[in-house]
Amino acid sequence: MGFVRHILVGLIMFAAMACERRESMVTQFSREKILLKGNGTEPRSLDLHLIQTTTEHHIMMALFEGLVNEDAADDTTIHPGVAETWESLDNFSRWVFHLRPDAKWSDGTPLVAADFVKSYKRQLSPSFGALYPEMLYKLKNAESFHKGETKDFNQVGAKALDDHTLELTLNGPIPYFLSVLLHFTWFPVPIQVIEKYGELESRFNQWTRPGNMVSNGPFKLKEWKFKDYIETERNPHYWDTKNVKLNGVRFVVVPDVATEERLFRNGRLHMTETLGLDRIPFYKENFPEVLRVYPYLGVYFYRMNGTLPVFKDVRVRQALNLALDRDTLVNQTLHGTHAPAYGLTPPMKASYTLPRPLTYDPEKGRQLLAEAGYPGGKGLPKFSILVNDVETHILIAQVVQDMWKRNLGVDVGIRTESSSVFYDTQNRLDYDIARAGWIADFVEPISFLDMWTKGNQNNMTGWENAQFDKLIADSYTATDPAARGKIMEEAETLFMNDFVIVPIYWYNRQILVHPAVKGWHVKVLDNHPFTAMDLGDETLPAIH
Amino acid sequence: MFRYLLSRFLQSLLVLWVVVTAIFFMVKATPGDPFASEKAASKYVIEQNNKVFGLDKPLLVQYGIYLKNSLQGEMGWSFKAEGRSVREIIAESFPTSMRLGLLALAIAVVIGTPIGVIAAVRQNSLSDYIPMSLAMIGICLPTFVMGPLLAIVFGLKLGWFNVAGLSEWSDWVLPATTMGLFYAAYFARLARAGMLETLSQDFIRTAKAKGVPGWRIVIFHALRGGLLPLLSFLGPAMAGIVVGSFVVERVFQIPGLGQHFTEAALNKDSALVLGTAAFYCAILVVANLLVDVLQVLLNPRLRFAAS
Repeated sequence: MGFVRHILVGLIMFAAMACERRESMVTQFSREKILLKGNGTEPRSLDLHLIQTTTEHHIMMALFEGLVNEDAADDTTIHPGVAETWESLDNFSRWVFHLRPDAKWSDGTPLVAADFVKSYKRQLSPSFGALYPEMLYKLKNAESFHKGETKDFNQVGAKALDDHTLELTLNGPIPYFLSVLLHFTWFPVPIQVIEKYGELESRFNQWTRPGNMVSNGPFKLKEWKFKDYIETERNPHYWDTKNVKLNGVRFVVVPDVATEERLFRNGRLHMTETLGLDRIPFYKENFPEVLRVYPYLGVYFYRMNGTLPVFKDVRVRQALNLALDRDTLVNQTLHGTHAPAYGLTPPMKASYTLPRPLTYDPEKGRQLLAEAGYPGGKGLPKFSILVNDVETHILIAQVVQDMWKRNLGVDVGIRTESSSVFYDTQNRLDYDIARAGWIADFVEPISFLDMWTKGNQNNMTGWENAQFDKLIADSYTATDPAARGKIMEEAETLFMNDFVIVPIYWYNRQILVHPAVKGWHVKVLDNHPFTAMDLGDETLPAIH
Repeated sequence: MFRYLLSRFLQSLLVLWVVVTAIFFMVKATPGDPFASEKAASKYVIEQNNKVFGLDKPLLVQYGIYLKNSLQGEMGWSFKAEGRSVREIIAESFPTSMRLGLLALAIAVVIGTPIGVIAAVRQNSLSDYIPMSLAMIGICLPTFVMGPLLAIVFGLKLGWFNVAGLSEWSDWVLPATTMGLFYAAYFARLARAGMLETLSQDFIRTAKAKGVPGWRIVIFHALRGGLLPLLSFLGPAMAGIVVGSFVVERVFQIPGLGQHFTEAALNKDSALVLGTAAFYCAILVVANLLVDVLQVLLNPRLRFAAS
C-alpha cells in the first residue's frame, strides 16, 4: 500500500502545483515584445520564389522588404521601403527607384539595385520553376524570357542603373504599379547568400535554414522548427529598426482551427489565423472585445463549365443565379460571417460602383428555365457541384442544391474531391459546376477581372469574349482612375450579363486578437506590417 | 534460432519491396497534381516543376530511379516542403512520435493489463462488467473526441496542463493519455480473454487443488500464458503507435510523423508517401519479429517448434 500512497501524494502535489496559476505564455511574450501569431499550415518554403499563399506572404512581410511598404491602416497608401524616392516616366510605363544608401541585408552587406535585378532573373529562369512568376509578367519581355523565347535577360525590363538606382520598364502603363510592388514576388532575395549554400537556381538549396538565412526586412530568422513554429527576431541592420517596436514574431503552425482557438483561450497565442464558424456566436456574445470580423477583398463563387451543352444557354445560367437566395445562405448557414455577393467585385473603391447587382427572383428563374425548354427543371441534363472536401464547402453546396431544387425543380448532385485532385480537375475543365475562391493581389477591380480574358489560366470556364478582352487591354492604358473605373464597370457588366459564374459571398475574415496587441488595423487585403505593431501589458480574463 | 531469424529477415525484405512497388504505382495512378492550387499555376510552371522533380520521365524510368536511390538510402525530396528531403522529414519527426508513442504504450499497458486480469479473475462480477463496459466505450470513443475533451477539461477548465504544443515536460501527458486510453481498452479486453482461457486450464486446477493461494496462481502460473494474446497484438500496436497519429498531432499541435502519412497522400507528395509507408512497413516488420522472438522465448510449445 505504501507504493499507492506515494503515487496519490505525488498526484495531489502535482495538481496543487499546476493549479497555482502560472504566468501565461502571452503575458511573458508580451513583456519580451514577441508577437505570437497563429499562421495556419506550415509554409511551403521561406524562399520568396517558391511560395504562393497569403499565410506565407505574412511571414515574408516580417523577413523581407520590397521597394515600397504597406501602410498600417490603409490598403492604398504607399510608404517608401528599400526605395527612398521614385518617379514614373513615359506615362506610368517606366519607373525609376532610388534606393536608400543605408539599405542592408541582415548580415550587414549593402543591398544594391543589382540584387533586385538578379532576384527577378532567378524567378523568371525557366529551369528553376518558381511558383508565382506570372506576377513579374508586367515587366517588359519577362514572359518571353520565362517561356524561353528570349534568352538574354538584358532584354527584360529590369535594370540597375547604378548601385542605388533601379529602372523597371513595363509592358504598358500601370498607374497603380506601386500597389503591385507590395506583393512578395517583387521583394529581393540575397543572391550572394543563396550561392553560398548551393546553386542559385537549385530547388534543393539550403539557404533558408536558420543560421544560413539572410533577409532585409525588420526581422530575421531565428528558429524554424518544422511543423511547429517559425520565430523571427529583430534585424539590427534594418534601416528603420529604431522605429520597430516588436523584438520578434513567432509564427505558430497550427492547421487545426479548433486547436488554434484553444491555444488562444489558453493564453498561448496573441492572434489567430482564423476562427471556426461555430465559435463566432460564442465570442459575439461573451468576448466581443477579442473578436474581429472584417471585410477581406475576395469572392467565393461557383464556376460554370461553359464548354458543356447544358450551360451553353445563357437562360439556364441566369436562372441558376436568380434562384439562389444569397441573404439566407449567408445569414442562416454562415451565421452572417460573410457578406452576400451581388456581383463579382467586392466593394473596394469610391471610383468603382458595382454594375447591376444580382437579385433573388425565383419566379423569373423558373420562367427563364421554361423558356430554355426545361419547365420545372424537366429534361435538364443532370449536373453536379464539385467541391474540395472541406466541411464548409460541402455545407454550402448542400444549401445551394436545396435552393435550386425548391426554386427551379432542378436536381443537382454534389461531388467532393481532395484539394490536390480538385484543383487539377478544375484546371482541366473536367467539372459541371465548381467551387472557387478568389482573393485580390491589390486593391483594383482589375484584380478580379483580368482572369476572365481568353486563355488566362485562372479563367477555367471556357468563356471568352473579344469585346471584354479589348476592354481589359484598354484599361491598362487608362491612367485616369475615374476613366479606368468606367472601363472596368463596362467589362464587369459584360461579363456578368453572361452569368458564367454564380457569386455567393464576399469574404470576411474572422480572427481573435488579444487586447495587448497594438497597431493592428482592419485592412481589406489583410496584410499588416509588423513594423507598426506593438505589445502592451493588457491581460485577458480566462475564457471558459 | 539464427536460421529462423535469417529467413524472417529475408522475408521482410521481400515484403518491403512489394509494399514499396505497390504504393509507387498506386500513388502514380491516383488523380491530382502536387503543384495545383486555388490560384492556378500556368501549364508552363507545372511543366517546369514536373521536370525539376523528374515527373516528366516515363513511369518505369521513374520507378527504376526510385529503386536505385532507395538502395543508396536516398528517399527523394518532398514536393510540398521545399528543400527538405524525405529522410530529413522522417528523421526530424520520428523521435517525437516515438517518444509520445512509447509513453502512450506505457499508459496503455499499465492501465489496460491489470484491469483485464482483474476482470478475468472476478469474472461476471461488477469488477468485470464495469471496467469492460468502460473499455468498450474507450474503443468506440475516437481520439478526435477524446483529445479535445481532455484538452478542454484538464487544459482550459482545470488549468493543469497546456492545451497544445510541446514546450514543457507536462505537455506530453494529455496527448499520451489520449492515445494510451484507446489502446488500454484493447489491452484490457485481450488480457481478459487470454486470462480466462488460461485460468480454465488443467494446470491451474492442479495448482488450486494443491492449495496454492489465489493471487500466487494468477501471478506465477496464469499470467505468463494469459498474456500471450496481448503480446501478439503488441507488435502491430507498437508499430502503429510509435509512428504517430494524425489526429492526436493535429489536436495537440505536435510536430510528429503521423501527420505526414495523411497529408502526403492528400497533397500527392509521392516521395513522402513512399518514404513514410516504407518506414512504417519496416517498423512493423521489426516489431512483429521482436514479438515472435519474445513469444518463442515465453511459450514452451513454440520454443520446441523453432528448434
